[in-house]
Amino acid sequence: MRRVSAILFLLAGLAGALRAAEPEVRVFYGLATNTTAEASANVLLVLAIDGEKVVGQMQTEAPLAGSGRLEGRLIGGWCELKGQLEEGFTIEFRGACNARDFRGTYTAAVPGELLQYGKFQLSLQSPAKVMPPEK
Amino acid sequence: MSGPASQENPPKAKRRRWPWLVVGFLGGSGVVAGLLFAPPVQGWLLRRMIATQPGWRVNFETFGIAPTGVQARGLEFAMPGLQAQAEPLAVRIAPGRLLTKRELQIERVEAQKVRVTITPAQLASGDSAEPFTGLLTLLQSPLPWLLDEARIDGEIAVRDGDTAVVVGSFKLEGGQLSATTPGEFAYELTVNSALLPLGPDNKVRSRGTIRLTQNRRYGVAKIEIAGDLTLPRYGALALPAGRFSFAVVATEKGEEYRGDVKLGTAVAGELHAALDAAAKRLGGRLTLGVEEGDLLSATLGSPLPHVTATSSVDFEIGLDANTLRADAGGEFDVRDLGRLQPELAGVDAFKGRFGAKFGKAGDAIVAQHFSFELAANRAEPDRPTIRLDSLAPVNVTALSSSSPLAKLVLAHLPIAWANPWLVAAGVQLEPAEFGGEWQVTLADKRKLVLSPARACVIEPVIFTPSPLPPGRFAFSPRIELSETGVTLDVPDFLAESKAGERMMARLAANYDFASGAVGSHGHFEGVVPTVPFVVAADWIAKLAGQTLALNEFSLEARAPDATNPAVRLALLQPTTIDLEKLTVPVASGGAELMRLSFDRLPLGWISRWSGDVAIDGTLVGGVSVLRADAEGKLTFSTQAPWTIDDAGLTVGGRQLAQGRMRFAPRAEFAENRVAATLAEFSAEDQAGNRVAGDVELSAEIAERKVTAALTLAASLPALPHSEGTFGALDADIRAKAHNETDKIVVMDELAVQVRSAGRELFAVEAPQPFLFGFSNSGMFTVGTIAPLALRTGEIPLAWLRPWSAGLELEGTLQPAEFVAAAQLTKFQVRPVKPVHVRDLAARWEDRDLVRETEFSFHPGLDLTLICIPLPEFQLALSGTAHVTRGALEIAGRHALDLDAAFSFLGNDRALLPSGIELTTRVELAALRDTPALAGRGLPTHGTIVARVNGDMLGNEPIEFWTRVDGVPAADGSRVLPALEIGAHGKVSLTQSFTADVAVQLETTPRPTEAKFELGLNLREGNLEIASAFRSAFLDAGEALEMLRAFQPRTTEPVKDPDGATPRAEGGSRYAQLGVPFWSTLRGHFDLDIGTLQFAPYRIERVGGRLELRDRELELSHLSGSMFAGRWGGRVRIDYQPENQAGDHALAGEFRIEQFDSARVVQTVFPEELSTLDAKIDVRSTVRSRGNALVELIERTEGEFTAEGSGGVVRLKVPKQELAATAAVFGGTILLSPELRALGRLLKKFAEMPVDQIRLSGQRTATGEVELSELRIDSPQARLSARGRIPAVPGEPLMNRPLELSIDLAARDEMAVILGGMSLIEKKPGADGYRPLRETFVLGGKAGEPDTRPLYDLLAKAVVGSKGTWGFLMRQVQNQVNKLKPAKPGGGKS
Repeated sequence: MRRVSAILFLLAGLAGALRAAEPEVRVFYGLATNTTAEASANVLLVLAIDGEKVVGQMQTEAPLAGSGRLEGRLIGGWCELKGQLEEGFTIEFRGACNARDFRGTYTAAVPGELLQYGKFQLSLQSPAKVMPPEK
Repeated sequence: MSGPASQENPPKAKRRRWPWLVVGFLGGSGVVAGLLFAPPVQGWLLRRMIATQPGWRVNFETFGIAPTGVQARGLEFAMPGLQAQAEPLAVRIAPGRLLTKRELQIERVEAQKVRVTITPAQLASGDSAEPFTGLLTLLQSPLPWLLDEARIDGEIAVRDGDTAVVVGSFKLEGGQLSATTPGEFAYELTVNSALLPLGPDNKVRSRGTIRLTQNRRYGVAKIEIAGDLTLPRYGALALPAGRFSFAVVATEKGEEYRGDVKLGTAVAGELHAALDAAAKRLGGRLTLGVEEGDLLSATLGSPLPHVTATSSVDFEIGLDANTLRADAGGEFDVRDLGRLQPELAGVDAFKGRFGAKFGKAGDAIVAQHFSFELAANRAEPDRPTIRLDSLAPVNVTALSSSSPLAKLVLAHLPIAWANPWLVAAGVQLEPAEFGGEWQVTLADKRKLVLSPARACVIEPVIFTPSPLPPGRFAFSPRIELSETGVTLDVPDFLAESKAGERMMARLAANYDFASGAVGSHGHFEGVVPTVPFVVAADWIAKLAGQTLALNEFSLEARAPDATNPAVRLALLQPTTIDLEKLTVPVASGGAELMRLSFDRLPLGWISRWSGDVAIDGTLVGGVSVLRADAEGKLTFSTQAPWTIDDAGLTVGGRQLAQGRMRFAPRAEFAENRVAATLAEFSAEDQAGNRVAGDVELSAEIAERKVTAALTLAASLPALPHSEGTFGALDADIRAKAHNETDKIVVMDELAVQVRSAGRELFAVEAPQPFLFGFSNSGMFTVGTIAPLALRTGEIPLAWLRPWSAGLELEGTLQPAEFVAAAQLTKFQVRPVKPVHVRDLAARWEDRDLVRETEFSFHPGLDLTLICIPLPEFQLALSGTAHVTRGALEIAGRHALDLDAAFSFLGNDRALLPSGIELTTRVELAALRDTPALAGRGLPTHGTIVARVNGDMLGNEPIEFWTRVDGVPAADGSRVLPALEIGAHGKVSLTQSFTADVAVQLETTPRPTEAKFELGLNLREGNLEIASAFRSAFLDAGEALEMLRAFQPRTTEPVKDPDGATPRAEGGSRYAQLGVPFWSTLRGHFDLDIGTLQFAPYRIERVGGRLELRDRELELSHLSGSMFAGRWGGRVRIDYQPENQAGDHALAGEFRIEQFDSARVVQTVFPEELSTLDAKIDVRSTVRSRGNALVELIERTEGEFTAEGSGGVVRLKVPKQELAATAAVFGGTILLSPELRALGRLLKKFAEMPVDQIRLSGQRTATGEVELSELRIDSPQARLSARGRIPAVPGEPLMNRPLELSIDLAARDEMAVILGGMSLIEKKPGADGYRPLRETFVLGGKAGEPDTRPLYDLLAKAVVGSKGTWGFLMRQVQNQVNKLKPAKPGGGKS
């Protein structure tokens, strides 16, 4: 249920991006590991793909933190996203995105601290499975 | 009457006295008996009886003897050395047997709480004037005796003065002893001792039987004791439980003693002895064996060599004269000396023996002879041996003699036994032997002197690997060992090398046991090998505790041809140094104690000892002195700086420095403090590079604090390899550190900067102090408060050329910056500025690899490092190296993106990759122009995105995924469908990676997909397959197109196998790759393909087996369904690298049985009725040669045959849409007879039944199909044809042009019709068919032949020599049109 509400919240966040066109929406969910801090948590990532342009919203479960809007591009399976998150740090994802999953590495630049590294493995979710049917 | 009376009186008187006497006797007896039965009297008598023995005493509370026995309470008995007490004691005897049979039958003896105390010292001091006559004599009896039952329990104690050293309890039960039957008594004994370590089970326990046997002389003739025995643990020694027996047997001469003890398998002993009472001699043999080799280790609690031993003592004791004679001897084995000390592991096993003969006469014990030998357990006469033999009898009680007592010989001891101790020094001794001989003298009872009988010689002494030449040592050590210490005196030490160097010394040393002081004095002189000097040294010194007394010391090294010594170190006055405080007594204050001076000391000889590092130069001068100030503090100061000319340093043959060096060492030794300075340091090489500065070191000894500071400034105008790139360099190094604890060092300051023309090239800075050292657990740790900064300036890559071997690099590394931080065992490196290289060009052996290239990436490192260097170096590490925002541009075009993380773990011996997270995107268009990839077959466009993720150690799966998109076809006509390959597998322990592979090609309308298993042998680098290859749909044409798009082509002419003539055939040529096109793929696939499409053809349900070997590819047992026929075949491709025309050769054969020929046409022309509709069998053989799979397929040539029967041939009528054609076809009666005949013929041609069809031909390497023969037999016609179908790239066979020359023959009705049209010969051939007079040629397409030439021929026959089928049809159409109005009813038909 938490995931459903999170997706709705994230989709609402993407509403601005969805206004102009009918982009493809992909919902990813899976594990991210901060290899520097040696901590892992689940991440929910909703992407709106319009050609090469990608807009996303992410939400991270404890013990990691990171929620906010991401922007980037998706070219032939190569996907890079970057965003200033609500917690005050900048995150940058780079990986391969296909019809099944989105997997790669990321960096988190926390002000005043050394750069943190991580990896993620997110599986494509069916929005129908996690969203209530339209009435 | 009175006379007789008087005569009778005396008898009467006697008669009167007798009764009184009787009465008196009886009365007296009664009184005596009464008195005797009175307990006080009995007690008094007993005391008196006992007291007759000297030292004996008895006491009791109550005591009574009755005819049936004795009763006592509170009985105490004492004799010298023995005290016994019993609470109740009851002895019951049978008096009747005593009176009737003169046997003393003791029916029962019962004593409780008997306490026996033995004092051995008092026993020994008893009257021993009488010699020992035997144990059994003490147990003799004047009359036969029986003991029916005895039950005694109590305690036993052995005392030493006032201390009970042994306390125990005993219990004895048994009886049934008579003159004829042995009595048997069970006993239990438990003894504890104050000598044993405390512990509940630390007791001697024994339980067994005592058997007493009497002889006819009423005495005990035999005592046999047998029982188990458990000895207590003593320290680490725990002997196993065992059994023992002891017997004393009366013999004619005296007694015999037999005994044995066996404690498990560890210890076994035996005693056989006999007493000759008459001769007063006791003699026998005692043997003892230690069979458990580890007993010694168990005893002492530490690993010791494995020792087994057997020993015996033959003895004879003269009991009257107190004499003793004993011969002792034994043998033992010693092995596994490495258990004592690992370095001794290489020492032999030894076999030893010893013997001694002792005698005692009076109070003197004399060792008549003794010997000891320990020899290596080898059957060689020259085996290592240590032997000690007595030279004369030794009075052990006196132990003093001025003459030698014994001879000690060491022989054939290998000096290589010392090698384990030399490992650390990096040298080993070659095999040689050491030996010596000493005479052993006891100067007095307290001094053992080993005087050399001959010199010890070791020859040859060869150190390997070492620059020391082979040599010989000879010396005669004299050793004195006394209660106070050891003295060693070597007056004649000589060492000489085969090269002629000789070193002589006389030296003495002594060690005092009480004070621990070591004193030494001596003189050394000679030429030391490898050192080009004559060295002389004298010393008199003593070290007591921390105090070193130097009375004399001098050392000089002088070149043979020099007048002044090159080195001289001399003690200027006797002095005493407190080594702990590094001070001298105040009395010595102010004096100059020692002087060190150099005078043209060459240094090149050091190189012989420094491996790959060669040092050269001459220490031309320098004077330093050790001085004590007024307070006794020591100062080492330099009066004349040390100057080295022509100083050279060469490492691995590469000269690193050559120049002049100068420095002034200075050190101050104060109480608890040492401060050292390398002042005025400067070094300058011949090229003008100069380093100058100061090095300071100070130590607080008591606090164990050391502070070091280094300040160096370098001017490097001509640094090797840098001069041409950077010009003159300047460098500053500033470092300061102190130890916070014994294990932790704080780096207070660190700054290193290298500059070029004022620009920074390299810098390391610590903005705040950081520390490093070892934790309490011995782990290496580092901690930073603020990260260290590392910067590199702009560096031309050409600077790397001296180290890049044949790789020539150009380009510039842009300024980069990193920070490094550490916390305990975790280390982090992070980029501040990326690594960025511009204008990169690389050449390898004059071949361009890359040019116009630019790349950048952000490197990072997370490392956990656990390092414990002592006592044994241990290192474990794990970490991840990161590459982010990696980008590559070639000639201004973006070529690659890369993000990756490589995890690893390892130790000091190996580093293993443990994980990978890599994603990359490649733009093929940009990479294609890279010289290293040119000609490698990269497409002109397209992208590859790939990722690899997973665990390289097999704990988690590894995933690989890639997508190839936007790749144009080889001919550039279109963009090929995207290809995706995914693999999911694990690395196994056998260093292989096995994965499930899924391949998808996005073909339309149906995607191509395939799944199979693939193994990657990481050790051999082979890809291994052994699985099914499953695919629901496989578009082989598109797959080949994708393959073709990546296939490298060549423009070079290709030679025929047998000549140099370039082949003329068309088609693409491909470059040889030097490997089979299946590369490292090995194994087999079992094919399971639902539909295999090679547009427009399809084979359904394809099965078969694909096998890939080193040089062969084989497709066998191919099966499937094609055009409703059974398809099958086999193909083999051989890799023949020696063939320049094409290194792959293909050979195969295919067949289709009973395929539907109409479907072949309909596949291409779905709306078309096939010209030929029959069930046909096709067989073909194919062959090809080429350098790639696509080339093999493109250039396939072969022969084929086809046979069929029972079909239909349709010769399509041109313009059949016209009404005229229909009219003719319909055979309307309005037409002329010729046209009606033609109409009948058309019907024959429209559906001509076929009896048999046969076809043969070949396909050439260019793709052209030559039809050698086409023969169709029908009931009324026979067609024989030959022709060709030329190659048209990209077109299916059925859609290619057809050129077919046909001979037609007819019979029956068709012959009549054609004959009527004068088209055929009048006479039939031998087969009954009449051939057409003209051959006609069909064109059109193979699947849609153009039959007009046939019908033109027919038209000519109908209308004369002019006209074609079209002309005829127009005539007929006109005629039809004319006839229409005459038709009744009119209207359209």
